[in-house]
Amino acid sequence: MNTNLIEDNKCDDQNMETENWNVELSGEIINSRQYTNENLEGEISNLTKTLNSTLNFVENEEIYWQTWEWKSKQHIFILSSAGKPIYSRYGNEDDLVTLFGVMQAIVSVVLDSNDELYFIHTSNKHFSFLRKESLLLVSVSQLPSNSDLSIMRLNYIYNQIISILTLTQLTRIFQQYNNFDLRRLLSGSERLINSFIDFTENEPGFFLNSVECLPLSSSVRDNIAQAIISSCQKIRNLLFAILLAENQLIIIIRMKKYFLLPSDLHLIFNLVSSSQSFRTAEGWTPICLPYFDASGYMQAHVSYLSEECQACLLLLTVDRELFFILSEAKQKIVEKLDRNALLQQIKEAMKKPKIFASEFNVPKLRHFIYKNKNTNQFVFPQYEVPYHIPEKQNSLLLLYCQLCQQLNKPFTSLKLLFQQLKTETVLGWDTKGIELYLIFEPFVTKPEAINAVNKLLKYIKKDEDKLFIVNSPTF
Amino acid sequence: MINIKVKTVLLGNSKVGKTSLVRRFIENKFIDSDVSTIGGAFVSKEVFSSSYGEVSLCIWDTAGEEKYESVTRAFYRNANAAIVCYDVTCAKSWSRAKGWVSKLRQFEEKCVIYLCATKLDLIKEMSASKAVSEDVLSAYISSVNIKQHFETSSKSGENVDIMFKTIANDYIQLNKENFAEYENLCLTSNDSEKTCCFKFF
Repeated sequence: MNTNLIEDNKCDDQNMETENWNVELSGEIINSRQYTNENLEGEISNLTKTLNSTLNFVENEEIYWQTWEWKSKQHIFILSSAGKPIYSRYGNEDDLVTLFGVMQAIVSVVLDSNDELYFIHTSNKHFSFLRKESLLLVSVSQLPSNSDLSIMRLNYIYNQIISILTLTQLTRIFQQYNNFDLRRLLSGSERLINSFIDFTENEPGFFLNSVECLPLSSSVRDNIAQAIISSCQKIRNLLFAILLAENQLIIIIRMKKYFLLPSDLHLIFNLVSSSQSFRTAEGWTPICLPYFDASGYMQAHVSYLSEECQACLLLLTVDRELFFILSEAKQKIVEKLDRNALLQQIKEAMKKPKIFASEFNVPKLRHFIYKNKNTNQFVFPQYEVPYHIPEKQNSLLLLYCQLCQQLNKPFTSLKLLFQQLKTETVLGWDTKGIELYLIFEPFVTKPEAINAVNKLLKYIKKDEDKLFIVNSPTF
Repeated sequence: MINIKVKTVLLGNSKVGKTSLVRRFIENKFIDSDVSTIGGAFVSKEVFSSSYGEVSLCIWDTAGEEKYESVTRAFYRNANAAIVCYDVTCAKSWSRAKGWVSKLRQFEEKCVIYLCATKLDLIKEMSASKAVSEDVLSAYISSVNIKQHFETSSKSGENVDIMFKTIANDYIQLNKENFAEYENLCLTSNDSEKTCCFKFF
């Protein structure tokens, strides 16, 4: 493998000294930073062994364990601070009580010495821990996984739980009953957690912290926005109107002074994509958006535009009594869109296949991601050969993810990265307002790659107002 | 012709099949899925036209989970009719159904309550046994003023349509006077206008 940096302003490759624990174990501790007493070291070492053997024990004993896609996927566990099982991605939590117990023990041992446990790496498993006020989230993978990404994923899962329950409710419950079984409140919502974990594994929007838009000409998009705004103008307390085409954003209209961050939008995407019932009935759903406000619910009126046009409209409000007014507004919106042939336009745009990297006729370019940093929107072309099979797609995503993290590492100012790998050559470029990631055939030269960048940028600039939502309309 | 809307709410424990019941009524389809409703879902369907106008049921399909209980209150407020569902084979859902009935009686005195046993096909096809005996059931129904008890199956469609039509019909019968009065009022006001005119000219 040959690593080549065209421009390297990286100040210091040394990891910033963290104040917290970072335990690396292969059978025993080989490196632990800033531990304060030797007893603790021994205790952690013992507990880690127990953890590993408990996991191995369950792994060997239980039949369901064999169906677990352990090899490539991460296992996720959620438990309460008191060690009560809440969620396990694979298998039944009740069968894993011992495992949960050990996890809770190991975290609290470190906590007792006023420290925080983040990771444990053993020879064949990698653990990441995220401790929140009332919950503990743990991920385990067999492949050496990206630690920052694991923590980010756990944070996402935590946000999904907040989105179901609100932070206020979660905190209050555990203040009142330390031993509460949270599964009682989460029942029926497991699918939201499951699909959100899948989302973090399959969607580039997760690590790019941005959303994808449905390509539409800017005039059509403006007209759609106008149709929505004019139908909702007199409605008080309407915060956001969001129109989605599956996982692509068509338009978002907001109340002045209020914004939604991509991670909150991802929660909305997840709610819509994992609930088929909105297709047949209008939904009136409480949802908490943790970055917007973790303390309480918003009410979402969720419905699809029509049988033919399967775009989903969400009207978010803080007023619980607004259902019928919003329902009426939705009817008006659909009528207006229909009258101006916009429904048809949306339908056609949804039917069109996504863009292909090969469309751009850039030699040796296989795939790319273009991210607009100002608006947090990105373009991700359709997978093509050789990324037409799922395994390859996974490794491509992983590659993008690593690139993205290298460029966005805190305390570094790496701007451009050119790297020749075994099966492809990659280029990452972080510049004014844009992040660009390109995947080439292995034997591309640097000048060829730079040419490709220029050519691609020219194409995208030309279509920018079609590929991205440039305006941010308000009510 | 006026459009008469009957606000109906479906209540009951999670997994008893409220959404399936609605979908059987609306689309005449059976969807066997275990996806829980989040919050509430709203549908309306015209049931029949009577001499008083077109009658449509506006149905709130609610989430049965405990965490949504505080939200569900908003759904049954001012409801004309409530269908309290329980799984015919599940005793736990029966006790939860009784809970809903007493809540409705407490907060919504005017609401007409129907009891609906779901998943009747399990009894017929799988020969499962009923969780509630006939005696207990009839004693309960007469004690708390339940309008009617239905045994339904969304899978086969048995009694589903009949139940919703009965609800619409009962609403008309119970509120007949209101509609009639409304019509009469229009006529008399027209009449008085006419007499007015005569006086002037």
